[in-house]
Amino acid sequence: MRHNRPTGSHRPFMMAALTGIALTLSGQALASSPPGWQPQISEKILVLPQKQLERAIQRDFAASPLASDMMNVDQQIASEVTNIQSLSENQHLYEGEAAIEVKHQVLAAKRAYIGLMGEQIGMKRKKLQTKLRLYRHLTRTARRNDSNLAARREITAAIDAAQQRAGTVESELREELFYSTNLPESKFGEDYAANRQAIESLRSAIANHPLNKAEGSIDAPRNKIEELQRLAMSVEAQLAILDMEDEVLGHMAKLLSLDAMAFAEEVAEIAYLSNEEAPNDAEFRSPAAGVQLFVNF
Amino acid sequence: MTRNIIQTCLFASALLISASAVAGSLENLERERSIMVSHLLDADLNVAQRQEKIAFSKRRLADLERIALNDKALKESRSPLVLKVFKNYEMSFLVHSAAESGRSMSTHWLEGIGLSTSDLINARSTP
Repeated sequence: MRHNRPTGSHRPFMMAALTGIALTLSGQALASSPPGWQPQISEKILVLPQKQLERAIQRDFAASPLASDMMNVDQQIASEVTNIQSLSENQHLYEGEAAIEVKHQVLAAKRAYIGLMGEQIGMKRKKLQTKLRLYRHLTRTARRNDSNLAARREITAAIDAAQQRAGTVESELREELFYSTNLPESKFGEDYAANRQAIESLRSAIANHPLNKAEGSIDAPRNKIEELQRLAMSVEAQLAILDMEDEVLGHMAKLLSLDAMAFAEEVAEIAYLSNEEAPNDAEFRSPAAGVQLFVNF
Repeated sequence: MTRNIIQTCLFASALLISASAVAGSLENLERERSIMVSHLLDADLNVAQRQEKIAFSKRRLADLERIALNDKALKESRSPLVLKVFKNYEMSFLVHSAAESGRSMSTHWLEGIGLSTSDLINARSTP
């Protein structure tokens, strides 16, 4: 068997043509792809508490083209819903052809609603997938930072323990130094005591701040990684809900197509009833009727 | 060859500079602590002189201990020396740990190195 393979001289032309087509197609794909959400957020948000971290991500999303697109589509959906409701409420006021026209408009509005809702679900999915990727990236970063910190953790723990021990005797030590040495307190000692008092009062204010109140529940996350993993889990749950919303939309579309079929039959029935005489069954000629044409020749 | 030597020297000097920068507060503390111990062990001083010198040392040591305890640079360090200093709180932060135990600084230090008052009395009475 012989294959027709491109000859060596034709191959560069074909390659160039294929590349051109591929480039054109990819260019079209890029041009037609809707603007999305590219998080501009820094990894520094990892230091924020959970609520503030979520708010920072939400603010970043709100500034994206995807958010404005979702807002536009949401407004269109709201206007379609109002349109469908007003048409459905006033449907009984019309008769004859006007009633058919209203029904048609209701079906058309429902179709537009389903289309817009599908678009909205697609954008919601895009938003959630981007958010999920961001949380996973932040989790990886937090894990990396944590492993770097592990090496220093022992020193930090020892320093913290020493600071705590020293802190408990600080006021007694001041008195003891004053009485035992019989010397005036150093400038550093005075400033240190004043600053320490200020720091303590600020620390207690920070601890009691409403925004910094730790969730008292026993289920509260133990560290930043667990916190981010829970956020990612909640996004995955929202994605699962979106899948269900897709299914709901599919059922709506099916119901709408049944409504449309019923409407088409109704219109056909009206057209049929409006004719004065019912059309007879067509009687097509049989060869027997034409026999004479052949016999009498 | 020359380039290698220069690179090695630069590397070594960079290491030394960073080590000294990290250990500044601990070095000062250690210097003052050794001065205090030398006053404590100085046989040429009488009781009043020793008390006076130790009182000055104690006040300075208290300040240096506070500085070392609040030195944020030490938390960034990975030096085993830093870890050892903070793990051995009793002997590193003499003024604070003596206040905690309710003993004088001298007694606290002597007991820390394993010399109790009775040990010292026994040592004196032994011919």
